[in-house]
Amino acid sequence: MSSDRTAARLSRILAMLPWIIEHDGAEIDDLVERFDYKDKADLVKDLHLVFMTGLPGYGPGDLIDVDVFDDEVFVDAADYFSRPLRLTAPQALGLLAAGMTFIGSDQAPPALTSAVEKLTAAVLPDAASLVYFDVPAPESLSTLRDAIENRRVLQITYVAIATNERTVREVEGSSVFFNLGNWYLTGFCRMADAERVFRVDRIASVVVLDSTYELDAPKRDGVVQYRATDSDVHVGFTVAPDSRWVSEYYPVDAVDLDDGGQRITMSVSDPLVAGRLLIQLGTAVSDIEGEEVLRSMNRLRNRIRARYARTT
Amino acid sequence: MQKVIERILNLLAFLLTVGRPVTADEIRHTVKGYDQPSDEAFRRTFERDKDLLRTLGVPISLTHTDVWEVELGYIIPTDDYQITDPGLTDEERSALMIAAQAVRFGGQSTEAAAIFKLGGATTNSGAAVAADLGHDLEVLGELFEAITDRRRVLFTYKDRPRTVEPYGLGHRFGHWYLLAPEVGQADTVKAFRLDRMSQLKVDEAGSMFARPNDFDPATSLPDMGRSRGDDAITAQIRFNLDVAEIAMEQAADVVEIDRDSESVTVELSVSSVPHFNGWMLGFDDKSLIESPRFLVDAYLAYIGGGE
Repeated sequence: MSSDRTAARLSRILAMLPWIIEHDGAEIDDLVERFDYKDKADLVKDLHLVFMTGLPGYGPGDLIDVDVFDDEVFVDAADYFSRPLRLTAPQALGLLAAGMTFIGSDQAPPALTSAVEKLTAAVLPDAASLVYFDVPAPESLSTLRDAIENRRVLQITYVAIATNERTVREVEGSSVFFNLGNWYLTGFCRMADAERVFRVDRIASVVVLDSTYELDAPKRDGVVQYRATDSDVHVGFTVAPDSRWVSEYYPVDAVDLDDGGQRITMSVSDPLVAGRLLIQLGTAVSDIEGEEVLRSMNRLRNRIRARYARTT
Repeated sequence: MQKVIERILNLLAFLLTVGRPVTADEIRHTVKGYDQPSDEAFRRTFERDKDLLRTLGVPISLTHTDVWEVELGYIIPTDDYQITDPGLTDEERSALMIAAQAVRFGGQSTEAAAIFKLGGATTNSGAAVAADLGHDLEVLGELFEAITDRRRVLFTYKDRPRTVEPYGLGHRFGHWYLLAPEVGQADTVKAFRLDRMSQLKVDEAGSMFARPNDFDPATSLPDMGRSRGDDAITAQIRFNLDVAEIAMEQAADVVEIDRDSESVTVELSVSSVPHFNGWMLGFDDKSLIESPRFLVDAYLAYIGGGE
């Protein structure tokens, strides 16, 4: 028996009992939905369990009284469970952070804004002076969100991160999400004929088209995941101790070295992405192995130098 | 599992109503479900149950049972047990739940139990907007508790052990920061990146510290050159049309000063040269610093390969 499951079940019972005590005759269907039970039988199992518990003596007057009449639930003799348990620190912070993220990005419905205000006042009066969320609010965010909610095809002008190449694409959006400090749009790209992820600050312009598409529910997986493919190019390099952030920021393999630095192995679909990173790292990087990436890095250097040579 | 939950509900009911600290021995002889045959079996069961209650947030503590301080007993102060009712409407609860499901912390979302404690939610539709704020919520919660309880925190950062007075938490550019002065340097609030801390420990026993009233988490976060500082430089940059809109959207204090069929020339504000260089590099050869000259030199030195 897993103690996590026991904890989850107990925690739900301790939250549901106060609700039933406060709402005498709470409806079974409402309870199932509200407390996310599988079905009525699942809920009734917990109610039966509660019926077996109470205060020392454990006779009829000591046990919690649970009655179900016509799909309505009544709980008596359990005043000590009439208030829900306080939120734990991770729960309080999690709810607050979730609410503030939506509010910070201008995506909060009025109900969320008032919910966060009430919750903060009741549970964490000085939260606003302790926690700060800096979530950017790009102008196009609401347009993208509304288009996905209404299943309207988006026409975006996108400037690729690796190459700065500009393309106009029709996208059937599935979600917009915030990860590692940036907003992303995910969806089916009609030009690529595949699922794609677009960084919102690289979308130069957006038009909501009249045509629509099918989508069951917006996706909830707010994580950018890079999936390596066979056509990837590889590069290995050593970074100094103060550039260890590379292995936290990018999906790479890293081996710790005795001097505090790391040996990093990276796979990328476009060698230019790795080349640019190596230039950024400057003198913090050494022992680069990977012909294609080195070539790409040098070409990038030369292109930029050539541009300045023309003007000076 | 049934028996475990029954036993723990009995224990909780007893501790919430008894109104005085009770010894483990009294619990063993009074509360149904603790009739384990051996002392050892009772002790193990009772310890496990207490741990489980604590993970749920039940404030169970040990205190003297009488003024002579001979015996120790367990107590749950009712005021600390109960949530203060925020008085949410169903619509507000649902909005909060949708947000809680859409915002993750390193892939993990806030427990549904948090919403249950507020009365559950009656809609379960997904949001088109989602976020991952990174980092483990347990660690964030532990730090948050240290902040609200004003307990010192110990950890290793950049190969050095630190003891800090945690004032606040902040999230910026995809990272969480603990905002805290090191002990003995109360005037300097530093920003420690959570993912660079190790051997984190909260000093539960030590004395509480005082946080200055004027502490503001927003101003203590690093700004990595994205906001205009007092010593900002005004630079003139030419961007190819391909990248001009996105560059102008991202930059600070942008003013368009010229435009032709191929490019847009703008003035913008640079407050951190290293950050600016990284940003320019992203535009490949589609951007050109026109002035000032020292910025061009700094950029070409950064690009390297000139010797």
